[in-house]
Amino acid sequence: MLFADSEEQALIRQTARAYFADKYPAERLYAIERGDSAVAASDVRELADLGWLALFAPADAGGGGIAMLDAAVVIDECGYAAAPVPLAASNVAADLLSRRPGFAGDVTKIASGTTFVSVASGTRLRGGAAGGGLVADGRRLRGELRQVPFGNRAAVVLAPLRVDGDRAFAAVALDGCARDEARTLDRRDFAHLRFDGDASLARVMATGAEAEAMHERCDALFTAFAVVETAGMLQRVLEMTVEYISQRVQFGQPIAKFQAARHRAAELLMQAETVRWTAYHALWRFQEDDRDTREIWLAKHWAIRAVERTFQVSHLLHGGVGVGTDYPLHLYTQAMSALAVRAGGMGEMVDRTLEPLGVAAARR
Amino acid sequence: MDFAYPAELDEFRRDFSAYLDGIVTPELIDEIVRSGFETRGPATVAFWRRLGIDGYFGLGWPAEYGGGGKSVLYLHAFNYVMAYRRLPVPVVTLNTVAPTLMWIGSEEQKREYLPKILRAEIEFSIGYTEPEAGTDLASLQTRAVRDGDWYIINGQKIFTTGAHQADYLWLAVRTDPEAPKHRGISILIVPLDAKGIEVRPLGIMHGGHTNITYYDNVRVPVSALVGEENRGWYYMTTQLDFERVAISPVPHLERLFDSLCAALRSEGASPPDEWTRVTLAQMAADINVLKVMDLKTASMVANGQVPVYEASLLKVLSNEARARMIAEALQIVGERALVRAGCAGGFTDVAGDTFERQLRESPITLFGGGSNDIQRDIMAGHGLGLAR
Repeated sequence: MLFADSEEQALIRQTARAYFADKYPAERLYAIERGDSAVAASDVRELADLGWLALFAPADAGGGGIAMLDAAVVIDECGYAAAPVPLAASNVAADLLSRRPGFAGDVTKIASGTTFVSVASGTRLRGGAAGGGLVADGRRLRGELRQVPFGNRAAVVLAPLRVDGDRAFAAVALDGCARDEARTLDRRDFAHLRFDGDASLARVMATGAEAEAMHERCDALFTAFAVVETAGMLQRVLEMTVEYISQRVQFGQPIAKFQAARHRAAELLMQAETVRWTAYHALWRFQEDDRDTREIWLAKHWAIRAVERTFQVSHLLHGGVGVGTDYPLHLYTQAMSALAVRAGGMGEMVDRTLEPLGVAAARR
Repeated sequence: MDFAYPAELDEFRRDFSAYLDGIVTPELIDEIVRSGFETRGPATVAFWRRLGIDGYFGLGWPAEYGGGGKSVLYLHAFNYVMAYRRLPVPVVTLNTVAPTLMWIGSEEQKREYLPKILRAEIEFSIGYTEPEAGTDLASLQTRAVRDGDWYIINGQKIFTTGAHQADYLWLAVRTDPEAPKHRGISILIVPLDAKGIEVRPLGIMHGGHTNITYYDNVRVPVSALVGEENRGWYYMTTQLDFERVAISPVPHLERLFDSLCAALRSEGASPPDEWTRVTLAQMAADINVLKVMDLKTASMVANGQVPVYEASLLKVLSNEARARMIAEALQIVGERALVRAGCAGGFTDVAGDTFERQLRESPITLFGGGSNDIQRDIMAGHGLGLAR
């Protein structure tokens, strides 16, 4: 066993850290937050050139063919930099498409940056609660997908839907759908998508039980990568806080000399380490056997609470500085709080955790 | 990263469990439960001897000392299986005394003690803490003064757990009162039947008792010195880092969780209330974290690294989780969980232990083995580089 980066992972991490630091410095992140800048098509092409949009989809299907754990290192670093780029969504989409015959061409387009595919993951759409979901009935495709990541500019979104009453999972082209801005706690590039168009816009990838399995895989990967990305954010918040309390002088000494502050910093260390290793461990289990999703839900359950604690402690230790829009902490605490809700919230994690134990009736 | 748990260890766990099924008798369980899980009764000693003869106490020991030469992960797995079943292990003798003797003991000490430890013929009690030296252990005052070929010991220890039933003390004493406090401590092996030792019981909330021990001109030969004189603090702290790995908190929590799930399933049709559902899911997620972090720490040792802040992190997380989960388990089971062992109408976990007893035991680990607040300071210092 080795709970540390392999040589290859260390190299990936180093490359990703340098790239994100260079491309997404704090000033640019503030500008994106204000709406004065955005992740542009040229930025996405750069990610494609680096091979990061379809990292672990098999090489023979047009992907990068690297291990999921190695791919996770890039997403971890994306979280560390708080870079608002579509890595998780794009990689999950490429993985799902690569698994269906007839969709390999789509993977190639994702990898090359020619088509931007997002996923309407996931968990919040289970049962069609959010916006009623999509329905293809006869020749028409109708319905709504809410808060689609990068929905303002994606060309295709992978989503569950009902086709003539049956469950299905499809690649839905967004030509002609209405896009309403869905500005969220942390993002300006999400959108609510409203459809009333031709049914041929939805290319069905799977139906029935296969669709359900695909939806499940989508949720599992999306959640796992959300926890990995959260781990990166928690690490940066930890480092930022340690640096701050080591420099900030009150009562004649750095506040890091006060035991109360030291112990709170130790609390941040515990949160960052535990989220990191449970995330990677869960993803490794899934990589070995994709029916083994249990640790993903457990890791997310823990991460949600770790985010709550880190939010409080990091802001407390930073005082007024931490809430300033010219200081990066708020970007992280907003983004990680959104991720805590987004890729499966606490209620869903409770259900996911208890269902296989046979001790509790599911709410759904 | 490589998270694969070696297949041979899974096999070892299965084989060892099957082996235990064959040798754990109802008499042994009865003795363990009746003693409040603090036994060293005849059935327990016989059980330990059997484990010793069959090679389980020396799994991780080098072959030259009669051990199995296995990696520390075997020791970890052995302790896990034993702890899940709530079976007693002579913890300090196996995890503190034996490895330190192998590391820096004299040839005579190794010959004298290691074979007997391996066969469970002798047991040690640790004498570190004093009334005025707890968290600040290096301030200990019990003195050992050299007198020719002898040391003369005077002083007092507290929380000398097991001293009433052990054979030897593993005693930390001050041998140089002039040196800085960390550099004047030595370790001596002291037979508990030596003249001048008094052992007085000190009752503790989870049952049974620990001890206060008094030393009045106790004489031991200089050959009782372990390693070099005045290097004791270094030996004690180095050993502690490794010891924490052997003692995993996870099996106790898994047993608790499995017991709760089994109880809820057996209640049949009525689904648990929402609070219970939420709490159970949180327990599952917390236990998962501890399992992963426990594996991380064990794998560091197996790879020749010394977990320092990592061991502190695991200790704080696990002990606080344990105290909280026990309290929550009482809430979930309700009033049945309040009934003490031996009375009708109570509730026991899958190993026959009551939750109310575990609640009484749960504060111990918050401060035992180094207070959690000290562990937080270790994380701040070693983990984050925050200067004091």
